[in-house]
Order: sequence, then structure tokens, then C-alpha cells
Amino acid sequence: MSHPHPHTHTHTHHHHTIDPDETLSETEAHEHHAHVTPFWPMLWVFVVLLVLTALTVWTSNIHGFWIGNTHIEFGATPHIIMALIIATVKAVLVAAYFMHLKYDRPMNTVVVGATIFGVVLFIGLTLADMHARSINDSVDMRKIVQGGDTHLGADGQRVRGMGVVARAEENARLKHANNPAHAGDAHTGADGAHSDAPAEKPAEPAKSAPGGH
Amino acid sequence: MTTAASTTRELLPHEAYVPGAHWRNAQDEAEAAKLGMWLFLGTEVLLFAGFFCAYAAFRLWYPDNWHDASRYYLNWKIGFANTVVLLLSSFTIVLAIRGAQTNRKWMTLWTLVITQACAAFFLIVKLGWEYAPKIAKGELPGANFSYDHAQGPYDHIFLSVYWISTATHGFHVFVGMVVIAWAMWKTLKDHYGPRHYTSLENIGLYWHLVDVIWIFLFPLLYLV
Repeated sequence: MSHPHPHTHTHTHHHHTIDPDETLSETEAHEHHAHVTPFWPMLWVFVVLLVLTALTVWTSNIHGFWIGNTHIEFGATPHIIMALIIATVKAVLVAAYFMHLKYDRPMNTVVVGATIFGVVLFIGLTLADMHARSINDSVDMRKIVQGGDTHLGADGQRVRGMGVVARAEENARLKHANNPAHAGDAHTGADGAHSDAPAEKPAEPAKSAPGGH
Repeated sequence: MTTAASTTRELLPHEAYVPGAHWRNAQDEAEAAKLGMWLFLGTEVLLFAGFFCAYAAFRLWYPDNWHDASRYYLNWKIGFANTVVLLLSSFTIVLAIRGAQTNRKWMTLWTLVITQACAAFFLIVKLGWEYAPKIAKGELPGANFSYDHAQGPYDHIFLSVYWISTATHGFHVFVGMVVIAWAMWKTLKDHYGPRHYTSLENIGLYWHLVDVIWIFLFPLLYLV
């Protein structure tokens, strides 16, 4: 570096003579490199991000509201949706302004779009698969306890469990055996009713499983 | 030196910077490096997508227990404080890049110092106020869960997702501190200026990604 390559000479001459002691103005810097990051828009984005952070905390504590005499309960799902909407707005602000996508060549945004497409496929297909196979509640992770997939045997010793897949099938079988309403439609019955009142119902048949052994 | 006739001193490294011979000009080189960085960030997003997918699947299975565990094991005020410092650090690293673009070395250096302080604050809070008490109480993931006052049968699953996602994120914060320290050294040695600040810009992109991941982790783990 201390002995510049001869090419350096022609390179700098090609642009214009550099006076290194002169501070470049923003327009001059613009000529040399891409868009110069502006101060005030970035400050405003930062302030909006703080406000949105406070907003997401505030909305998480809303448990319901009144319309006239009717109280609308705010369950977990609306909270998740609100939190995800606010987080997405924040992420878009960070990507567009802080990460400069708004000012960049569009190819970087194409990469982001492809990534989001991959994430949506990944999570979306996983959830769709769980839904389609009605395993929303039939794998009972309760029995995967300390030490892995084991349960207490008759002598009080931990013995290896039957494995997650076999257990899922066993739980599904027990669930339908205990509930004649679902006996006919093994694959579609569970999840429609399940999504409204999730935790209590599936726990019942699951509990009986280890006792049966 | 010999580079320019009017020069009264040696050119600083960023002033004398010449792009690789296989590039048409410095801007093409910088844009290509940035595109490569974005591709890397894409793989990072997909890495964390695995944790978000696990979150979604287990939350679908155990919605109530999940909600209770989130409220019981995590203090939203800690998550909120860490969100604020990460947002601040994102803003200051933006100003660091502006400092390089407008040839203000000390602006770059001091905003990087603030960024670094925010990152350190984040990790100290995470390790000291979250991880250490959790380890002491046995609020550990999966099979290591040994906490005496479990709130529900699936607490250990919530904690598995909590630990793997926040620890991976925390490791990214640590890596961020290392590369930001390197950027501070490069700034001190006058490697960043209006004509060249590519690696500073890419470090900024990485740091913003760490921020974006936390923007999603905070409400999902601490709030809902």
C-alpha cells in the first residue's frame, strides 16, 4: 500500500484531482459512491420504531373491550396477529431505511423477497401439514419428560417410551375410542373442534395412556 | 506522494482505495459485495425460520400452556429494555455509515462506540438478568428442565424454543460485537471514507438483521 501501483495514478486523474484535506460535501460524496444516508428520515424512523415497540407492549395487555353492552374477549390469536403485524411494520421500516433497500438497486429487494417466500413455504407448509393430518393435539409431548421419551414402569423405574410416532398413533386411537362422535372420521374430526377450546379436551385421553401400560 | 499533484500529504487508505482490477469501478465492487451480504442474510433468516417454525408448531399444540409459560418465565420489561437498546444501536450504526460517507471519522468512531455499548448492554442483561437466574432455578430446555414449580406440563418445551432462539440470537450479537470492533479499528486507521466504506456498510446490514430477528422474538416470546 505504501508504494501505489502505477494504475492508481491514471485512476485518480481520470476522475479529478483529489485534495484530501477538503471535506467532501454530500453531493460530491454522492458522485463517488451510492446514496448518502440522510439524518432526519433515519431519526424519524428510529422514533417510529420506539413508538411501535411501546404499542406492541400496550396491545399485549388488552384483554377485551366493550361495544355498547357487549364485551368482546381478546384471546391469544388476536394478540399474536397484532404482535406480528406490528413486528412486520417495524421490520419493513428497518429494511427499507436502515438497511437502505429503499435507495438500493432492486436486486437486493429481490433477494429479500425470495427469502420471505422460503420462510412462508417452510412455516406455512409445516402448519398446513399438521392441520391436514389432524395431529394438532394427538402427539402428547407430556410424556417426553426428563431423560427423553420415557415413562414410569410398574416398578417405579423409568423405562423407554414407545417413541413419538407410535405414541401419536396410540393417542389418536385412544381419543377416538373414548369419543364415539369421532369414531367414524379418524382423520378430519379432531382439529376443527379443537381450535376453539384447545388445552383441556385433548389432555383427557392423553392422561389415560400411561395408565394403560 | 505521487498520486495527485496537489497533494500536500500522503493519501489516507480510504482516499487511495482502488477496487479490484476485475471491477469496472468502485461502485460495482461495493454493490456486488452488498448483494453477497444480502444473500448471506437470507440464509440467516432461514436459520431463524427453523426456530420460528418450532415456535408455531408447539404453540399450535399447547396454546394455553405456552401463553402461561411465556408470562411466567419471562419478564417483558427485560425484553423491552433490550429491544430499545437494539433499536438505538441500529440507528447509531446508520449514523456511522453516514459519518464515513461524509468523511467524518470521529462521528463514525463514536457512533460505533455507542453501538458497541448497546450490544454489551444487551448481552449483560441477557446473561445476567435472564440466563443466570434461569440456570440457577433449573428453568432449562427439554430434558434438563428441573424447576420445582412448573406451571404446566409443557413448560420445558416453551423453554427449549426460548433457549435455542435467544441463545442463537445472542451469539449473533456477540459476533456483531467482534466485527464492529474490527470496524472501529478500520475507522481509526482511516480505512473508511466517502470513496470506500463497503465492509462498514455490510457490518451495518448484519447488525440490522440481528435487530430485525429480535423485533420478532421479543413480542412472540415475551408478550403474547
